[in-house]
Amino acid sequence: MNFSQNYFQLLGVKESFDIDLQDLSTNYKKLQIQIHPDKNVNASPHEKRLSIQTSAYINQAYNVLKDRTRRAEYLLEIKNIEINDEQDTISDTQFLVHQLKLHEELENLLRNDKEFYADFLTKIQKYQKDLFEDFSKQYLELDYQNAKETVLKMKFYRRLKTQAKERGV
Amino acid sequence: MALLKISEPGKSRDQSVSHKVSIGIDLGTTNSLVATAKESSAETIKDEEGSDILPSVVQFHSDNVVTVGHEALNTACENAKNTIFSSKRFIGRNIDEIDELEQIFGNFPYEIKQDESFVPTINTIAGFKTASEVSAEILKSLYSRAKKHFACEIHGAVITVPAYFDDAQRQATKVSAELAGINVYRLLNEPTAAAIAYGLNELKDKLIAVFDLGGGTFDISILRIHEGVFEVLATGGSAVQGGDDYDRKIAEWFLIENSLLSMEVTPNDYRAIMLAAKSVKEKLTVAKSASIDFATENLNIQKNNITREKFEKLIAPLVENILLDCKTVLLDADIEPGDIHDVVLVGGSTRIPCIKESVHKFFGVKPLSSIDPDRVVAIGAAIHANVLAGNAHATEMLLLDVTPLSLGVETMGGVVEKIIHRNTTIPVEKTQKFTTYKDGQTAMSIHVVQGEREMVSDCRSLAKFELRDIPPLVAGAARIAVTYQVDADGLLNVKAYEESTRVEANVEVKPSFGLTDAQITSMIKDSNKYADTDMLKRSLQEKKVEASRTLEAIKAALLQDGDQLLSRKERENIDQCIAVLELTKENDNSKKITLAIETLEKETEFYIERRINASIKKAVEGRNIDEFKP
Repeated sequence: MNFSQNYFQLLGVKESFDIDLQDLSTNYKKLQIQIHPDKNVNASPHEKRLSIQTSAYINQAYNVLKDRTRRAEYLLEIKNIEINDEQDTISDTQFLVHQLKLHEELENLLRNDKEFYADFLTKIQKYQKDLFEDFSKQYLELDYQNAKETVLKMKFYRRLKTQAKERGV
Repeated sequence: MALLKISEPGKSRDQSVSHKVSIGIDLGTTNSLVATAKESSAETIKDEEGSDILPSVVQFHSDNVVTVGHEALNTACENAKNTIFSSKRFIGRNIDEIDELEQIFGNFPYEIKQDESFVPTINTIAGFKTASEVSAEILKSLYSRAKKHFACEIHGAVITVPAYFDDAQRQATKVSAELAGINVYRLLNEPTAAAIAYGLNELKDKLIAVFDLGGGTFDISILRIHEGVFEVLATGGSAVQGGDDYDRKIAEWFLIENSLLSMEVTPNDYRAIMLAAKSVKEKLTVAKSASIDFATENLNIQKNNITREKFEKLIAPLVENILLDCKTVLLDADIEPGDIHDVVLVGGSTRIPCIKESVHKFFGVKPLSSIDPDRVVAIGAAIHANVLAGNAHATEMLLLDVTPLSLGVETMGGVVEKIIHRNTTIPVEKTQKFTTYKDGQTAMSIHVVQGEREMVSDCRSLAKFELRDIPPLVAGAARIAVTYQVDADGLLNVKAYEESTRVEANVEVKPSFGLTDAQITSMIKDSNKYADTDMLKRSLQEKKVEASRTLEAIKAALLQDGDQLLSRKERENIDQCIAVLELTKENDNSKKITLAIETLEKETEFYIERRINASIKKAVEGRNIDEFKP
């Protein structure tokens, strides 16, 4: 099966960073109701196989588009700007200092200290929100170089959040 | 009975589409059931004796006769070595895990060893039997009961499995169904089935707890439901706690009250007193006190009455344990008891009033129990089977499940690299790229594991894949894309090809302790002790059924959108292939039928793709299907 449409076209939302999440989820459901293997139990074996593949592709598209960081990364990918986690680094030195500080803060957080943990997460959320606004602007202005740096920063916060959760604070 | 509404009011079923008979099967550790659903009701199917519960007990005899259920249970003592209880505990397990089970449950009366492909088999008078073969006998019995009930062929079935079942256990369950000759629509998680029975799938972003206390096992699952998407947040419980423990508490209390030492009681008397205790327990669900009805020459039971209050005291420590399991699972899901919107009760032991009350108190909501807790899983499965068969006018109902465990591959140093994370909506496909490290390398092996831990040794080994026929290129030049697909049943499939040459690498699946395809095929042959000619007849019959199914599917498709999606020439070509298959199908040549099926499939490939593309567009844009005419 050749999936020529990109995720935005597939899910029927406009190709931009600021999408209507309600539309996204409604269209996702509409698609799965047509395509999901459960709706094709009486189909021929070939149609069943295609249905699994297509349904998986729709799931993948939905998971990327509903997550703002992944959505941003994907928008750049469509513009042929690939992000390589191992080679691409953030050049903003101020941000690097900020990164170190946050790491240190996380290290110092006490286990089971729910209040501090909540504060820490709220802080990260605020930083993320700023980045989402930055990206939206940069993308609209076709400033892909800075947009790429913004995505790298977004990815840093996402990793940090996972680490915070894993520590089971 | 508060059942899911599965048809729109005032809308009668489309008479032109034939009704497909479907069933739901609850394949349980202690008991199994089969149910069926119609427009707005669902019910379990009873056997000739009027009982709908089939004890999950299988007995093998020397003359290849197999007895299942009550019959096997009643003669279990005389034939312990050939009577297999709770095959579900073994299914998809390896020999080491079965050793662990023996440490918990005590030694099994039968000999278990592993065969050449590391699948544990049980030595019976009828030969070595795998857990899949034993469970297949239970499924066969339920299946033939359903066939008798309807007096016709069954189109398909939904079979339930515990939410925590991993790939190996799900695969092995599917093999059982295959051996029993059942067309499986899909495997469904037991807690999900229970939630469907209560129509909870329509909720918007709510948390549900499914509390399942059976005869010998306790499972607690936390589900998140959001408009048809079921996410299993956490599962927990205990494999060694259930109603049988409560019977034992009562039996022991009577022995002590009557100053009898359990060591003086013969095994036969003990069994009898356990049975009597069970009936006392059942009486106590309604009565405030009950008497044990027990008489034997050897034992003198003077004090024969027990109050409900006493019984509750006896089991209090066990109930405490269950609530502790509930607490743990909530912690695991990172939620509080007050976050739970509904609690569904499953399993006969949830009838005990003090357990119901404890659950109510713990979660702070009145648990749902209007559907018989012994039957609720089978009923949910039947409702879903009816929807999947296409009988119910509930096109809006869709179940999206998630993977219960992460799937990963072994990398350098025995570290797991996760490919598909747990709680990913299925079906899902992920592709991973590999390259060769030697000139001319034509093969490589990949080890797939399932679990959340970082080291391979802490996860469950699922399969080792050998990629062969990689085109010989210089080191690092070959780009092998390996695609891992988890289908809607949660089962893994793997495909691989070399990107530059598009040469498909041959993937040889060696399940770590599952059955190979060849083994399954030979088992199917073994399980039907036909003479050679009968075997041929059977295979021809199966081919004809396959041909009918294929024809039915393509005709239904053509009726729906053939005119819109096909040019006249394309349509003529397909019609011709259909005519050929219809003619061939009437002859008794299995090879020719196969060929005609293949031709039809090949000639309709483009059309099927067009159909899927059209429904994608139609779903999102609401555009007219005519726009996709070539």
